[in-house]
Amino acid sequence: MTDKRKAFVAIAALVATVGTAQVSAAPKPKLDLKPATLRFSWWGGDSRHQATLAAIDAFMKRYPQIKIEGEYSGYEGYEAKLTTQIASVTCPDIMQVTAARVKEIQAQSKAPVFVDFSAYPKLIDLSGFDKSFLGQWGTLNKQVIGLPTGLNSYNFVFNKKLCDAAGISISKQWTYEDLVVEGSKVNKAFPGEYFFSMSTDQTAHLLHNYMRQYAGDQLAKDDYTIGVSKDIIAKAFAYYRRLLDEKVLEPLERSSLYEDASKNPKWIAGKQGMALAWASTVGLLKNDNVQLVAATFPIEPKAKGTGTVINPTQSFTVYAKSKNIEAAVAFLDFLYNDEEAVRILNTQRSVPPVEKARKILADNRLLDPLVQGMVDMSLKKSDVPLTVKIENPEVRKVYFDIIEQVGYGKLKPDAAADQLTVRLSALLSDLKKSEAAK
Amino acid sequence: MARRTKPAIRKATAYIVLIAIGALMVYPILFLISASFKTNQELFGSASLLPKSLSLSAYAEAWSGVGRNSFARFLGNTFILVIPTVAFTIVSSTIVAYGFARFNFPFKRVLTLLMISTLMLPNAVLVIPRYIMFTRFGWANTYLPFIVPALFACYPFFIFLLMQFMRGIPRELDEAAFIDGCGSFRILVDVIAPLCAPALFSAGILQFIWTWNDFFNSLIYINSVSKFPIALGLRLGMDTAGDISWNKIMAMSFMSIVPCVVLFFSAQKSFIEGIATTGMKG
Amino acid sequence: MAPLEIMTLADNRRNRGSIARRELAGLLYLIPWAIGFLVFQLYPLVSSMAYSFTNFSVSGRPSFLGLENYGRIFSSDADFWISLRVTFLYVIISVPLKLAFALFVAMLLNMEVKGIGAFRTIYYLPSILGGSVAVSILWRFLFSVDGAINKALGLLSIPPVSWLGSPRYALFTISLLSVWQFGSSMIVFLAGLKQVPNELYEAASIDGSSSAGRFFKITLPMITPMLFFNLVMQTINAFQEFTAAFVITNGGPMKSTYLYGLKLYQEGFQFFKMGYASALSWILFAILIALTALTFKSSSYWTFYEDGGR
Repeated sequence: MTDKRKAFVAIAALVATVGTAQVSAAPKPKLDLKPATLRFSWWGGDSRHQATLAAIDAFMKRYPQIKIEGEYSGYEGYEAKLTTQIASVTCPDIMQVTAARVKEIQAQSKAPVFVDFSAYPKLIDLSGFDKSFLGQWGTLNKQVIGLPTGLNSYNFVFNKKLCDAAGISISKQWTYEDLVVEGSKVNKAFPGEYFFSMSTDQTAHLLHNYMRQYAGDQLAKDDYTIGVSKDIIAKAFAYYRRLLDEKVLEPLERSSLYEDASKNPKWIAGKQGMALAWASTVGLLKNDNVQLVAATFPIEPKAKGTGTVINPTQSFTVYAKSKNIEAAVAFLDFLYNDEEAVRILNTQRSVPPVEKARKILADNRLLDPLVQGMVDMSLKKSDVPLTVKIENPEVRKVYFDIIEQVGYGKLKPDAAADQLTVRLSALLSDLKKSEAAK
Repeated sequence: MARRTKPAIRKATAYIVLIAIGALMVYPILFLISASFKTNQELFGSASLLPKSLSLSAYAEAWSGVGRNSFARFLGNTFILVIPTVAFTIVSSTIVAYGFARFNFPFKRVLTLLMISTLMLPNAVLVIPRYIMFTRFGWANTYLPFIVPALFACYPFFIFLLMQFMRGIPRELDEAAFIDGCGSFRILVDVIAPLCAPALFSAGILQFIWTWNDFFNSLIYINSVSKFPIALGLRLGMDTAGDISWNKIMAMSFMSIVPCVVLFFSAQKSFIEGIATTGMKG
Repeated sequence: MAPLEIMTLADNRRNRGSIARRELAGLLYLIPWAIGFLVFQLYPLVSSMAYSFTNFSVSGRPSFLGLENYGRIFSSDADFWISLRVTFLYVIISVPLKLAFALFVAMLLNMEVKGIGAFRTIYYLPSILGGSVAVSILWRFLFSVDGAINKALGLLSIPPVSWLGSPRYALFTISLLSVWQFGSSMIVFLAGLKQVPNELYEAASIDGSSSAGRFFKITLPMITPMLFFNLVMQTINAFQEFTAAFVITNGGPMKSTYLYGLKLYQEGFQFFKMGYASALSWILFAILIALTALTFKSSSYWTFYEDGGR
């Protein structure tokens, strides 16, 4: 080559490099992945299955040497199957796992069960995730083992139609006193009807939120202690009794069977004024008899925190004993960061956790405004995320037992607070012993 | 002196009772069927049996599955799973039951109890070791964990059932055949087994329906969606943790039992009514 | 009775060896079961027993605990006793009712009436439906406070009952689901009824006995083998019942439906305490073996076998 030609080539190359660096929206350069067959398990409904399968297809088109087999089903039995797979060391390469279980499962085992994503910076870009969110839900001992599949927030959702009819004002931020005062208006205006109903699980959330606002800490902490004093626990249970006694809350004999309002005939008929709802399933509450308006949980004056709950919808993990870790990690990177995948997956697992993905959906108006609104308002009033311990199934069982007894009138709030403290301390110290032994 | 009610009155009373109880029995099922035609809203809103509008959308959606695997495929899988299992169960259970019923060897009571005792541990704690064992055999993601144990009489329910039934057959028949020169196996095949027809039918039908409906074990052992039997295939879209349309669940459940119902109805007519009551011959 | 006895008695002195050999031949017929047991059943049984002596937690390595699990169950697990009590109650309520209905309906269906095939199918339908999530949801629909059952009661001016929301009625309502699915017991009884020789009925009616007399003197004794079978099997199943309690009420309200099978599942698959769950299951095993052995022993007093045995 002549000198002039050499110079031209060099400059062209330089421009090309600079040029590609600027175009950040261009597809990532293709990775050199070995041919592999991956197993990917998730649960969901038909629409989630369709979307996930379509995303898999898009990935396989880009990397024809990678085959991904979906092992999908409804939720029933999924937890049992996953448990069996873990125990028999036969897990799929990529797994969708209940977010709260990820750290627990890994904590029980000395050997790695899940892959540490932070060890593969070239394969997966984690910068789009909120650091503290990822830290709380997916990081154990500095290893990032679970990636949230979506942002899910827990809110109050009002039925404006009924609230207007009963003269309830929902425009300002409520306190817990407002909930009692305004809520009791429904039973006064329409005898036999109640403002809302709650399952034991929902009650647990509400009362925990109440406790957090007074205690500034959570009921079961990750250091195996109880963060809420007996007095405040008793106060919370007393408040629960008030909701029942002042006829704000539907009696348990009627409502205990309905996991959420979408199954409660009263809500469907438009006879209730409010329901507690997760952003990911708020769509179930819509019907012709209600008009939905979302709000955060009540906030007490002088509250030590809002107690707002934002959870991952679920988590994606990669099996540490997988033979195809690189392909699996690359696939997850595709699902989270690639525009095509983001559009395909949409809000099948609620609002995307990656900032860029949210922007893509928002720009294209693909986000349900109600869902987006719920997540946004929770993000604005966010608090420290829930501890792993409060989501521990054994802790929940003790907590739920006592709530039930208070709700059915078998235990008075003070006695309930005593029992809860005693049983919870015993349980937490047991857990400490068994987890330390691993 | 006995009062004998007229056969006609007895028959009429029988009919009335049958219909009354039958109505109670079938009401929940009618409710399930009508639920499959209702929207979520209507379902939770009213308790009447008649849906406001007959929407077949739930059935259409259930039939098409999730697009990638059709109902026909799941049906085919189910037959591949169920038919060998039932056939092997009947054959092996009959042979083993004959041994328990007609022979008096030492430790018979102990062995009988041992045989039944395998039913006494809940499945939940056996699932993990069983799964490990079958994986080591290389049978994961196949139907072999169902079919091969059936060949080796691993369903004590049926062994015990046939054993009890065989004990209701008089020994004179065995002895008569023995005198004619039949060995014990000939006696089994020519004398005992034909007389067990009602019990064989019962065992066959029960095993068919249980294997057909088996959800939990199938879920654990089968990974590929394309190998799912109906019990799994029709529940693919049942995200009870999230978004569900109940009419679809009801439609799916109903559709999954229709083949069983048809089979039961046609088989029982020929079997039970074709069998003359057993008893001593001549 | 048995010409068999006369023959063997006579032959016994001559052919003791060949009789014994003949009986031992029975063991040959057990070979398929023996293989099945050794290959497919023994390993899981032994494994689960081994787990029960460890703290196997699914993902971790188990370490040996000796009898600690068992100790804890008996000394510091209040829920163990609650679930045991609830389960015993469930068995006592559901099993006799189920067997009574099954026998009653089987007798009706044994008659030669027109359309009997359709009736048999209708009565068996609930059992075909099986124990699925859909059925449990169905039960919830029907028995909720605004459900169909209460609406029907309302037509009779009976005030609504909280069938599933009240600790007083929930267990009974769950038991009803089991009773509703009496189909398989019914099929077993039907087979047994088919075995009763018609000649006996004919002879009895010639002698002038009433239908009640015929039932108690002929039918009932002749089907005791099947009754015994159903009693043992349904009891074993009832003790292990889980799905209904899990899906309909999740053990509530206030543990009134907290069946043993549910506790076991929770400990193993939700709390990941497989070792503890295995210990629970072996305790259940011990209870069931004891009950079954007792039933077997008692059966010689009330079970009649055509083959002359006990």
